[in-house]
Amino acid sequence: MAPKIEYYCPCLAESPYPPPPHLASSSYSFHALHNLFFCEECDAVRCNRCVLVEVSGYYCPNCLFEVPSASVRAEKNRCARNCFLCPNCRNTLTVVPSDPPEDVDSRMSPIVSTTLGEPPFFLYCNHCRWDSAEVDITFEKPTGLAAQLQKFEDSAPESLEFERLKEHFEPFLRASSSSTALPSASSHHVHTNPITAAASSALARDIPGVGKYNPLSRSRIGRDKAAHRQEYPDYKSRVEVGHAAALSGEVDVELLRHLETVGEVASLEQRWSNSWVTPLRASDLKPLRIPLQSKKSKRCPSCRHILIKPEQKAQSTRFKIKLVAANYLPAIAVTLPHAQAALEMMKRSSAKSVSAAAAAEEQQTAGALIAGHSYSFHLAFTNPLYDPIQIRLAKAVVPAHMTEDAEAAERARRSTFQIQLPSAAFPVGAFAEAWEYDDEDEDMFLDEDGVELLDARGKKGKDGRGKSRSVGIVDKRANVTIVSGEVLIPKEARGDVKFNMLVSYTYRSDDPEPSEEVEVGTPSRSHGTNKAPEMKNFSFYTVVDLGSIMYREEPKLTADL
Amino acid sequence: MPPIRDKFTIHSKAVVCQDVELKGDITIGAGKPPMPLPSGPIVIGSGCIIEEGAIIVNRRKEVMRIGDDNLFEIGCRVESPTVGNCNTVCTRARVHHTLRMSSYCVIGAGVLVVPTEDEMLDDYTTIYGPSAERRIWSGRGKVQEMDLRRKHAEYLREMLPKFNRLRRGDGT
Amino acid sequence: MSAVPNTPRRANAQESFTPAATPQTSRVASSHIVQSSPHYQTTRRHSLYGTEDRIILDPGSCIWKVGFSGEGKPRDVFYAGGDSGESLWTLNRASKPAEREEEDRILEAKLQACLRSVFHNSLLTDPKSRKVILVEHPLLPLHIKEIMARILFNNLQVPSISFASSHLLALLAAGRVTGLVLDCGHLESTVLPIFSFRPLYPHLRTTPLAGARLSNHIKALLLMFGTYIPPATSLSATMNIPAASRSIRVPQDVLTEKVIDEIKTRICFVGDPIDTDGSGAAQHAMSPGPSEADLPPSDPALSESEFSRVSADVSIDSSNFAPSSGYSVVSHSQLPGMDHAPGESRVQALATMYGRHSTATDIHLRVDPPPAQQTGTGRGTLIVPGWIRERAAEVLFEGGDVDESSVAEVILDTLLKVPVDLRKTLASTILVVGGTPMLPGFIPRLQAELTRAVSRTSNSSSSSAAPSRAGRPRPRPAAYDKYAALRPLLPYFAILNNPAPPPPGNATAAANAGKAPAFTPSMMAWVGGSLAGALKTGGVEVQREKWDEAEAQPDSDDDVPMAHDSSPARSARSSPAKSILPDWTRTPLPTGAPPAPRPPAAAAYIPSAQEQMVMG
Repeated sequence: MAPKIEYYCPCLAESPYPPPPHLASSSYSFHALHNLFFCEECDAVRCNRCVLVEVSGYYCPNCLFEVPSASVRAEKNRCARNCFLCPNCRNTLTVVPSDPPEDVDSRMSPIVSTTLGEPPFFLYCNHCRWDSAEVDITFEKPTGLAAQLQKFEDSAPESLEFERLKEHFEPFLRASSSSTALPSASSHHVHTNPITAAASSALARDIPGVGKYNPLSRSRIGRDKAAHRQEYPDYKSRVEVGHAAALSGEVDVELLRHLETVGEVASLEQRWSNSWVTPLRASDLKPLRIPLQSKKSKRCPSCRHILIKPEQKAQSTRFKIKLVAANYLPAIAVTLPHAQAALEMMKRSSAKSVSAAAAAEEQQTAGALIAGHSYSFHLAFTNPLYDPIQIRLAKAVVPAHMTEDAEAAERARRSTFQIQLPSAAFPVGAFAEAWEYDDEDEDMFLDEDGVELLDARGKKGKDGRGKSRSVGIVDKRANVTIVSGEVLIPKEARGDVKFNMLVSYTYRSDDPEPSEEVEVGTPSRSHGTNKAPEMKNFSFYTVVDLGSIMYREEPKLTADL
Repeated sequence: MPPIRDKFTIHSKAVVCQDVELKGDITIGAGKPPMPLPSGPIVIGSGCIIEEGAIIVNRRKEVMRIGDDNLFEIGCRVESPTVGNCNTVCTRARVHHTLRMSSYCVIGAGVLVVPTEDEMLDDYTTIYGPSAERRIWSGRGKVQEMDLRRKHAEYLREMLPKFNRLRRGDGT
Repeated sequence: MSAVPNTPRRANAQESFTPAATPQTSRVASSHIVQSSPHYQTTRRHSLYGTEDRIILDPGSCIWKVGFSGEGKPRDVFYAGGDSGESLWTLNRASKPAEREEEDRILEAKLQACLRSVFHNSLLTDPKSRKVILVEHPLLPLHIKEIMARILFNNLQVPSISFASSHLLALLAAGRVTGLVLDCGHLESTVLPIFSFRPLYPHLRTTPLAGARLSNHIKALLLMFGTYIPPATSLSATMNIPAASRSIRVPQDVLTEKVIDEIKTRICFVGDPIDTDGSGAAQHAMSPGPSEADLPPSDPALSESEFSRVSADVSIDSSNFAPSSGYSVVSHSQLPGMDHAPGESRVQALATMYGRHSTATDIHLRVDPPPAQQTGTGRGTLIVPGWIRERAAEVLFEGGDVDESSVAEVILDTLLKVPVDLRKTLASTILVVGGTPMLPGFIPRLQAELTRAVSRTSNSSSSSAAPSRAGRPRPRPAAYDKYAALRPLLPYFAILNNPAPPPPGNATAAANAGKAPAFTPSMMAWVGGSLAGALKTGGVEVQREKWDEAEAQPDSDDDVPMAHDSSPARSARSSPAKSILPDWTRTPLPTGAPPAPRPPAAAAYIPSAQEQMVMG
């Protein structure tokens, strides 16, 4: 697995600290940069789990028709035009006319033009060759199919039965609502109809036995019972389950008993949204109207400012407002040089002769982190801002109240590895459109901020074989700076090498804002090399996942590159 | 195995592009095909369309017969000993030599059909989806589909010679 | 790092649609809000859906059903735990506080994803203008309910949530207000008697024999009796090796949750009980001694179940058959990693017996080969024997265990608990809902099992006499006739939604059996919820203002230490649930323990809820 980095979104949590990365639940708090938004008002990262979502328009994903919101309800969130899904394979269906009457020798007949279709029309699936004529659905004209089907839907047994049930129960509620008009009724004693009282209070509050919690209503209970006997007529079903099951019921058991292939029976997903007893057979499935989709605008959950606002038109893929975090935060890419080198080696040497599966496995082992070794890793920071920034890295501090005994023990057990990050701030060049077209070489002299490569290769990582590793800047070009860190894995370490990293960066602010909104616990301001008065600071947490530790008796040679 | 002797018989109305790889004894009727491989002879009927990268292999000694008006789409591989008429083998589908096709069958895109024992597909069988599910097509719409296919073949017959060098059979 | 306002939700509440409802509003004021609701209906997005439609959520541990009130079927149904079909929660909870906290965090994250997707992807609606009716299983753990409420109120900011009992709603969908409702879901089968709209919670009975157990059982059976034919090792190989010679035992990896689910929902059904009276008598005649002797000695409740018959068959086949019966064998086989050695002959015998009685066809299923053996040559074939398709569900009808009653026994146990004068009514209005009864043949079989369980002890004298005849060393105690009290009810037993009711015993049964509308068992609760929503009723309604208010309160009145939360923030957030969310388990407490202001509040509270129903 390639090493990866994800960004933390606090999602309005009280604690600004990210959850410890070894907890499985922490994965829900970290997101890839491209999934995050940025609220300028709050100066904070927002994610898809916390933003408020509003519908800004409905459209059919098939015909791209924009459906006015007023008719969405009536159409049950489905396309009311000609768009249908195959019930069998969920492909979109096309409307085709019937074949012309077949000639005796039709295969040999000259090409006839069938652009002028003849009714009846039917829906046809190009993928699995299902057609609606199989379930006796045909159309007189090839347009407005949904409307032609509407009458079937309106007379669906479940909606008729539902209306009947509603009528059955409604009188009691109507009686009760008229009683609310009684002048004597205080807001606490509106229900003079005992049945309704029982109904609503039972739905409202649960009663042990037949008794009631409130002693006042004791007497009511007695009346309820009597009332039930007297007033409450039994409901007569429109279609009783016994009748409906004449189609299924015993027949279903027989069908299943003599089943030949699974395909004869519709799958659960194909029938689970039916509330009415329907035959099990796959051949009875009806075409599905395509569900509508919505264009969503997103708001900051805290200040309600709009973060995302799409253009109204369904065909358009652009946004009127698009505050994505990738435009504000430096993008970070993490690599393990030793794994890459191993990969290169492998590509060159054993391009052939090894089967694909074996090669994949080998790649995995070559890039592995083996217990008892130390590895360097590279973090490449890409600056999206038009001004150079200064970045400082720090390992996340674990807040005091989170280190309980159990958790601390857990942590101690898991995170036995040691991480070294460059301690000094380092610069990342400004973004310019030109960079996108630049060759890789012509970079250094364009360095705008004049900050030189830090010679702070201060920390020399200790290494078993006496080779020195640097912790510091490895490369700097255009708006990308690569720094190197080091991880030392003791022999007994297990699990994943995964740690939280605090990234703080200082940038030049265009419009000075009140200072209270910046910096939560970032000491780097005092340390920044370029301390102009308009400089501002932003910090965010990330989780770096370098992969899992492999345990090996004798470490593989290629891994030690 | 004796060395394969190339022998191509191509109908005068067939269109076979120059860069098509042909090996062994192959007979091509009127229509337009490219590229099969060796072993027993292959006889391809008229009106077939064989697209780029399609591979048709006869793994057996006896004659592999492919009927009329079949469509072999891009990158498919067919080893069926017999193929009837009006079949469609979709893009990147693979059909093993244990399967014989009758007429109007459809092998869906990317489907792998490897029956462990010899099998003959009924007319109108459709195989689709990742688990190679099967259905029997009602056949409704087949006239239109065949019309379309013939138009397709007609168009290719017109257009291909303009942009490709053609190959002539031994006989012509 | 942003300076997040300390109480963002408070700010949100003010900015949302009810400006009148400040957190300071008292309870009385919040009930006024209900009355003023027509106002905001007219001002807020009137065109969109008509805001009076509520959202009906039926969140199961496995499958969720969601839709709008007033509609006959849900808009969307989906696996909550993702496509793999695993359940969101189980019957167990971690015992260590730290683990439990972690479990809750994961659950919260998953629930949040589900709930957000319900509003944004399934229903395409704005949660801020939608009241929600939550179809609540009576045994839904409080902490889960609390998490859901927290997400709905804080993250999605719905205006109110109503909690309605799933059993009661299901009964409404059947057009009844009195009945005995069996909900056979994924984790549990639960029976709740309801009289005249009132759920009699103290008489609730439950058993873990439900969908999840059935899945495990199918898996265990397939591991032993299924056959797997791997795909060809290579495409070019001219194989034509007969399938029989390549077939192997089923590797465990092949039987993923998804495959098991497909087997369960597409090809399994429930056969009739094996020993009908006639054939049973015949077999008695054939082998009187062993059939009785093989009864499990310690399980009087088991008595005449088919396992005695099983054992009878078995003991003819193999003489060394151990006396402890097919019953325990089947139970053991529920464990996926069972040992084949000791139990095998017995299980084999059981299989032989079932196989002989079953005419169901074997089914060939195309399955993905295990990940370790992917050869790129397509899918393998899994052969499911017909008898497994027919008899896997036997596990749900095997009773005798005190903790795990069969689905029939759990109904009878409930009947024993309810007041005597209600028994007759309830016995004739049994309603079966939930996903597992979707198995074809389940409900008729349940009816047969009920009849048999009640009437089985009629020949208990002969069975208790048998052991002595067979010369068993340990004499069995005289069978305790547990359901004797119910025997007079026998003609009254009627299942409302039995698709194939037996000839009714009397007029009452005739008036009820199979008379429910033909809604599917799995959808009954949702349809009931939709109905309740359309009728403007629907259970205790909790307003968001009240929630916010309770949340803002310091947790001083929180004198019941629940699951210990470590971070102060969390415990502060979980406190409102205790005082605000309805919870039937606390109601019967005479002095209304947890929240101090309960007694005065209760009086004001219930009517306000009623009023809401009227007002909608």
